[in-house]
Amino acid sequence: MLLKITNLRVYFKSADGFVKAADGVDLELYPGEILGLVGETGSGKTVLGLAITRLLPKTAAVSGEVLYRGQNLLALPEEEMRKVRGRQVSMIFQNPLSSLNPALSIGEQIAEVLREHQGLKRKAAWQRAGELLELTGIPAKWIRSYPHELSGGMRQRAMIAIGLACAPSLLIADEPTRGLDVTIQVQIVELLHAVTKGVSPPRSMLLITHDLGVAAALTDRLAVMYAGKIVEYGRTGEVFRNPRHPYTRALLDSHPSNGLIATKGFSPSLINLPPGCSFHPRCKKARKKCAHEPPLVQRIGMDHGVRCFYA
Amino acid sequence: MRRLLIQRLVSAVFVMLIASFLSFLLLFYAPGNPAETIIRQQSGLDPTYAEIELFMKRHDLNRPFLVQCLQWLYLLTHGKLGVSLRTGEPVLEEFTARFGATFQLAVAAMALSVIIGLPIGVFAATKPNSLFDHIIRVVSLAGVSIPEFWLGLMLMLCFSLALGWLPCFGHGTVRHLVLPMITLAVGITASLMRFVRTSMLEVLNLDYIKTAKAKGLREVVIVWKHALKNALIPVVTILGTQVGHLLAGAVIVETVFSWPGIGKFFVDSIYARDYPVIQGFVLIIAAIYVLVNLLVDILYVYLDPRVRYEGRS
Ligand SMILES: Nc1ncnc2c1ncn2[C@@H]1O[C@H](COP(=O)(O)OP(=O)(O)OP(=O)(O)O)[C@@H](O)[C@H]1O
Ligand SMILES: [Mg+2]
Repeated sequence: MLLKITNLRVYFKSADGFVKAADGVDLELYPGEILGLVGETGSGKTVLGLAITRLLPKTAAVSGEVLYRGQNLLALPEEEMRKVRGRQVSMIFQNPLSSLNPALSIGEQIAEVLREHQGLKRKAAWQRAGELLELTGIPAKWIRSYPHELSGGMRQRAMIAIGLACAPSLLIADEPTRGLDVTIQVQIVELLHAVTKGVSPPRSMLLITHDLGVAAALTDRLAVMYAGKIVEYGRTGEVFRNPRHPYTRALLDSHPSNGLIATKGFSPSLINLPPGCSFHPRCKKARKKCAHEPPLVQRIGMDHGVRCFYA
Repeated sequence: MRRLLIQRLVSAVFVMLIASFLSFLLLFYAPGNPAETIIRQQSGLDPTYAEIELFMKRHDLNRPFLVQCLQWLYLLTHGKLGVSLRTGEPVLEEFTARFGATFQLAVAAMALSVIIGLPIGVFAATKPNSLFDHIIRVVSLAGVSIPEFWLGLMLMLCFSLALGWLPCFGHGTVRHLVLPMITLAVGITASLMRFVRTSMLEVLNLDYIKTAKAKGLREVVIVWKHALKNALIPVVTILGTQVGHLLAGAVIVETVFSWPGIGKFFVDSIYARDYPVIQGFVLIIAAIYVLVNLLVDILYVYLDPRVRYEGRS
């Protein structure tokens, strides 16, 4: 097992109480596997990614365990954690325009990672940066260009090149196709496939996405998140064919363009979560029990689990 | 880039002319008469009515305001700034003879401000609301509000009169430079610190800083390379406008410390109503101001690739 998250909680202190952005998340990621994380906006997907890499602001209270190759990242001293970031675990953020430094050339933004983690000298690092650009589909002669000189798709490729620089074993990609034209989205999906499944040994990826099409195309397994909890997980094909949680069903029936708001009603406030099952106020199948007792995850098959009493 | 230069030069000419015109206008209608003051200075006696008349006539001072303006403009188109009423020397020579001392003082003060204000501003921003940050906030508030003449006198009192470490006034050695430099630098350092802090705080919250952290870069690299390079862009613009404060401060500091620069001579000329000197100096200082801001614009283009790009296309 490459990554094993157990009972992860991320609470933000706010004036009205705690925002429970992640509330007891369990997840597993095997070597060479692509795990999709889907859920409507505000369900805590980005927070989960940031918790793994420990990039959350200091206002976040994090508890639980994030085992990476058996080592609990949450307990690592900051300096050790710094060496994990970018070298073992890379994160690719959404919106590459704001995520790339406008004052540095893309070559420099790639080369500096290599200098930091692999101790490459200036020239060797730039040489390698050029190769990485070519690898992600950017002509190496653009190495000196600045982010604003590139198109949205090219910027996302540059972000991926940065993430891949030190050949990490885990890539966390947060909505890498968001805001791109459909044709460009397809190219980025192909690129992500090439740099994970296409290398040997295959690289693992946690893919956070709104786009069920992208999830279906890329992922081996799928985890569905609702209000800070994983409500269903399983093999991607299995979940698509046989969704068992009412929320997952609604999600699959919904149209991806509306921010993955699956069903009518608002997503619950993460400060005052409804008692019992967080989804019950919006659930068509809710019964009395759902309003009182929080459901636990039930295993309903080989590697398929659902957080629902009546699945 | 070329268009920027031309725009700047055209506006520079206007700024310079308007500045000297306004200074002349103000002094012309202010009470006081150059003839009286200057003759008294030169002979030590109260001048007679006839002497004043003669002086005014010789220097065309009894002509109407607009005529005098046009005369001055006419001279200017021939590259002349006229002669000082007090010393009889050409204004340009009076300026160049003294500018070196002022330049030395201004550059030293600016350098000191950057060396001290920049790192402190950066440190304060990396630990917002820490004890250090609070102390810095109070210190910088004090720094911008202390009047230069008072600070100068206090420093003099403390370090030259009481302790005897440094000379009170004069010019020539590095030791002479210390107190005037500090006096002039305090206000600029204080505002620079605040600008850097604000700008850094803003930048440190942006997405690309999170990216830099996710890349596993060291804190120093994130702060001093990724954040500072962006935070400096607005700061550089501010520094350009600080040159105005710098020159105004120099006038006061030079007077307090008897520093033989243009500031002191300029103040003396105002007391004497030495019109050609005042107009000429204002013109040159305005030119310097514009020039420095042009340099700042060029530096800005160097710092911000986005502007560079627009300039190229
Ligand atoms: N720094 C923070 N301080 C307080 N609350 C936060 C902070 N960051 C995130 N949150 C809250 O945590 C919850 C989960 O946010 P998160 O960004 O993880 O959602 P998401 O699933 O990624 O949504 P989206 O699909 O829109 O990206 C939200 O309610 C958000 O308001
Ligand atoms: Mg998100």
